[in-house]
Amino acid sequence: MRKVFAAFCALSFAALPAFSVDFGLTIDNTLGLAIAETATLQERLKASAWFNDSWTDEDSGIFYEFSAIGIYVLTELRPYLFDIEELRFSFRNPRAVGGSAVSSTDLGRFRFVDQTGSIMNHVSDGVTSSTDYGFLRTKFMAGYTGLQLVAESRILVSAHDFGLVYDPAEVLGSKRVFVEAGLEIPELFLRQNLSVSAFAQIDTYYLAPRHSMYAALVLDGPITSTLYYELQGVLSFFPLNQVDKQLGALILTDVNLFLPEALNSALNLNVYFSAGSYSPLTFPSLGFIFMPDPVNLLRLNIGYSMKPFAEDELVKNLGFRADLRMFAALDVGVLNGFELELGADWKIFSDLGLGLSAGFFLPTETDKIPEGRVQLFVSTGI
Amino acid sequence: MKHRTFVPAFALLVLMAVPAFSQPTRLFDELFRTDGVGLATAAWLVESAVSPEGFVDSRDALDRLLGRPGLEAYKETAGNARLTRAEFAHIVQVAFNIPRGMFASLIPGPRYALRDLRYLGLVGKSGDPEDLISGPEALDIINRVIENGYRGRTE
Repeated sequence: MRKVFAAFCALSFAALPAFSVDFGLTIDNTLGLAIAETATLQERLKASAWFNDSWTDEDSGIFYEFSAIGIYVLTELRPYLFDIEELRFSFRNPRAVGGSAVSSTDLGRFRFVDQTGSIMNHVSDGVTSSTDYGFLRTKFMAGYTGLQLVAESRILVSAHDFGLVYDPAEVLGSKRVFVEAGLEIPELFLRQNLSVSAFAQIDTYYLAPRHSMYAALVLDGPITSTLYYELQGVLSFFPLNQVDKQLGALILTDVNLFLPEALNSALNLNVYFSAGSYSPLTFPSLGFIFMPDPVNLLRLNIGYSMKPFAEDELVKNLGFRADLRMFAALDVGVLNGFELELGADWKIFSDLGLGLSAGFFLPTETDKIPEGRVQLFVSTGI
Repeated sequence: MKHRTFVPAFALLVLMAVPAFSQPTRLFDELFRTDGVGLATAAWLVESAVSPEGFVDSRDALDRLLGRPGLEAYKETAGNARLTRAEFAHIVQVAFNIPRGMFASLIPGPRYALRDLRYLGLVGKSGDPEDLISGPEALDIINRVIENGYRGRTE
């Protein structure tokens, strides 16, 4: 397998210069030590071979771009995994709708992010199309999640989805069709942006499929020159196709206070509140150690970050961060616990980055034990 | 190849400051029109932007540029040979002493120079490294380099 992969890479790289495309290799290595009753060493190595090419049609002014990323992942769970992370064809027309708008279309496999970023944020296969009129932006996307390898799938909505992950015979992840339509009005008043969107997903699993639909509203913008906020409200209907369908809601508040005079620091307050049957399509990472179910959850996050050495060339991209989180399961009325995460990230060069994170989760439930985790991340590009 | 239509502030200011029909005016006029900047013109643009005295003589610019350590490979290149986007990025990185990445330090050259300048936001994200650099894009890069405070870093 290693030889096949090496031969594939060698052939790909040998052939690429002839087509005058830009190409490279990125290697990300994460080494983690999880400490609970016992200590467990976890490693994930990801090598990404990428290339892209772009050109502009002189007559129409349309900009075309083709990009692809092939990944090789080495983990304990699935030792060898080769996958296509991106295979995208894009075109952008700066003179759409009689020259008054810019339209963009992307086709293929790439990361699909819904208008809120809270419902779906996942690599899938499909199409997105947006048009920017200046005073109004429209967006449409549709796709299918079922061609993604199960090891890379974070589409975890139903018990069947979780079953796929733990079944070694399964190759592909959850099979769902999704569609979204959205509108954004930039700088509607006092530099405040407003967006509305409707998102739906159809579960193609033949036994008890669980479809859902979401309506979202996002308001964001500055309050002062250093204080910014984002407010999201999502209403969900899930499961949509069953008699006992229920209403759910997500309210997400994110406030950032930037303090450039105080060691280039920033304060962050983030509140994630989900109620009823609300369940996003992509399982979110809401903690460093504790990964709560996003259903009926209250999570408070208070964060502080700084880049104190902005004047020094070598360490100007060295940043420190601290996050304190509280988790509560609202449906059972239980405070899950508190989590503290401390981290340092250093982009030493344009092609070399280091990250070190350490965290501690203190549960408040008596049947749980405290957990710790230390994680080192190294990323380099060739 | 279509290029950006905006006029960099740096070039506008320079155009207003120099007398009509002078050498800089002629060279700027050429730059605005060309889809492929030649090595000699690039040398004049870069050395003029680097120099604290302002515009340099176009006849001396190429010698000054090629005298910089790291650009010896261009000595075999004809003055009117048109540069690629990556080659121009390499010249700019060396002339302005712009920080290099790990691989640009190990294997100096156009390939990694372009990536470094892209990372620093001095060159647009898209565009083939092997495409010829147009005059307006070259001016845009020099404008961004100056705006980001890289002028005066030359050793």
